[in-house]
Amino acid sequence: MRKIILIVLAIIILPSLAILSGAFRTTQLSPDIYQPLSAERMEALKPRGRELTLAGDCFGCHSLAKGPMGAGGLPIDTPMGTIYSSNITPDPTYGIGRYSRADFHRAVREGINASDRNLYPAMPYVYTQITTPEDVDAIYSYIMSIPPVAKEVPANTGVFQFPLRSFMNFWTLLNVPARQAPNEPSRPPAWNRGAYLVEGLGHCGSCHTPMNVMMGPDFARSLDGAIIDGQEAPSLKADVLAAQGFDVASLTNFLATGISPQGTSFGQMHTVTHFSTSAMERSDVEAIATYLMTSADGTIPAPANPPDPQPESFQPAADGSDPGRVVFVEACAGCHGMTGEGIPNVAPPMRGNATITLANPLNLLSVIVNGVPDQTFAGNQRMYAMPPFAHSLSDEQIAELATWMRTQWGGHSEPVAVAEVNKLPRPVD
Amino acid sequence: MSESLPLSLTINGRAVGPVDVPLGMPMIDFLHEHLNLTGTRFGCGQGICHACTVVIEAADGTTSESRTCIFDAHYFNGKSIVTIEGQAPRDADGNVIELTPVQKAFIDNFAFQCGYCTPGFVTGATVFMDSLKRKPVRRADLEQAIEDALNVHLCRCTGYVRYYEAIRDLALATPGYVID
Repeated sequence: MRKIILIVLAIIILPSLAILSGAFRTTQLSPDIYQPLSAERMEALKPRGRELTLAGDCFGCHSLAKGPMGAGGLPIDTPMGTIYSSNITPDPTYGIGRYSRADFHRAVREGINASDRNLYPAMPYVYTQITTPEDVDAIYSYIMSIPPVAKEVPANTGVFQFPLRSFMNFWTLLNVPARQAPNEPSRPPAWNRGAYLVEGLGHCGSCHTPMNVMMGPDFARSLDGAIIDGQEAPSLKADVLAAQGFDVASLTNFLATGISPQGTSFGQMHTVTHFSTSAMERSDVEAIATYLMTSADGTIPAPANPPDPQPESFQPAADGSDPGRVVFVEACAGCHGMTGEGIPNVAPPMRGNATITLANPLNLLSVIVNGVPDQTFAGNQRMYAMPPFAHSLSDEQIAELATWMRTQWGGHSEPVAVAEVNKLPRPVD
Repeated sequence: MSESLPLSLTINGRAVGPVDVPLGMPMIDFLHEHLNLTGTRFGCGQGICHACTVVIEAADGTTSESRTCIFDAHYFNGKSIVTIEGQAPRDADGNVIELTPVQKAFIDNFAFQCGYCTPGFVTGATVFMDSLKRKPVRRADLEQAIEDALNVHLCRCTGYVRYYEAIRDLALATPGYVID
């Protein structure tokens, strides 16, 4: 009996304890990082650090909307509870003012904080780990120069209020492969730079890569598109983007402004274009677009024209009118135009709109049901709010509307089921 | 667009239609051209200024406001709406008996100057007061609630202060609308 207990202990418990204590988390970090940076070096690195901080959209999560920059407190809801983003200003009490150069390297590249505890993977260290040591130094130099904000972040809720951080060692072991930035000497420098930003600091895959059952990224389907927060973060594959009419120039413009013939950024992507890509150096944005628009074989596919209207795939009303088209004229055409041409700064065009071309009607339905709030874009551009239609159109009308819009501008002839509309979450008011 | 569809709705308590109305005609044009209800103001024509709003009365008795420049007449099919002409009660000959509390408050506070935005503000304030009747606000939240409700209404003359003060005074003077 004692022998069995000892064997169980040896096979299961001891390795588990070893994982729990972080024994398998070998560090890749160079011993150099324990040497502090000189004040002159930090000053010199600041501009580069600012650009990389923007590329990482660090303040997108580490600030509240309209709140002080970097002071954290943004709630990140998960099925297991809410995590509040941390204060990353250099405040010594509530921020990371006491972080050494090495502490900062460990956080960004290994997901471990200055108290030697695991960060939750809401911090995308699975992506940021590929950042070069010089670039981490630059980000550190910049972050340490922003105004400190003495503001405490609310305590995590749900399971995250319990001392579970050690268990993240299991998660990390299973979900954080040692990744490297793609480095293809045969590809142009812009491609390699874009790969470094997209697969690293930019952490595009946090939304656009499907999750596995452990809520870790499924790298086998990298950037294939995923459902997150009730909307689809669409596929970023080159052929999909090209089918939506994007090429390197137009995708660069979209990222740099948030506005494109394929539509304006909304939902979570709006915070990306607003705080990150529209503020970055043009060359970096172009690099991101170059990487995303390049197929696996190294070619950049030609952009497609907007899809042709499809023959109606459902029974028109007795008088010959199409019920979905009638709803469009009644409720939508006042802003989006009778032919879907839109009004600049008020409502985006429908013809060529990528949201309508997506195979899954989720985003189209979600926008019709919930509307889009007022949004500001680069260069003082604005878009007026779209009202939610959950209360003024029936689910049947919304399904007919979406069906007609997809036949007209989406290249899809199959009808949208009313059940698809029924199951959408509704606006509160 | 030449195709027409039959339209029936209730406007200011009276049944209208069924009447053939072209698909693609904005509601405000239907009010102006078909019914001679010209009090609803056409402003930006893009749904931004909210001068053109009317009250929608839902079957459950709740009210909301809707723009009429961006929505088609047929969007209102089967609905019950109140335009600015239907706000104040009238006698059998159609003469206004007295103004509504919101209208009086705007006049008492010199809330408007040129008056172009006023029908929209009356609509918005009326819907807001109606919402207070169902769900009172705390005194500390009143100013913010007014701004949240009326923020979308644009006025180019008075700078909003007197409009908002008029609504605040009326809310405070109406029992049960503001709680401490």
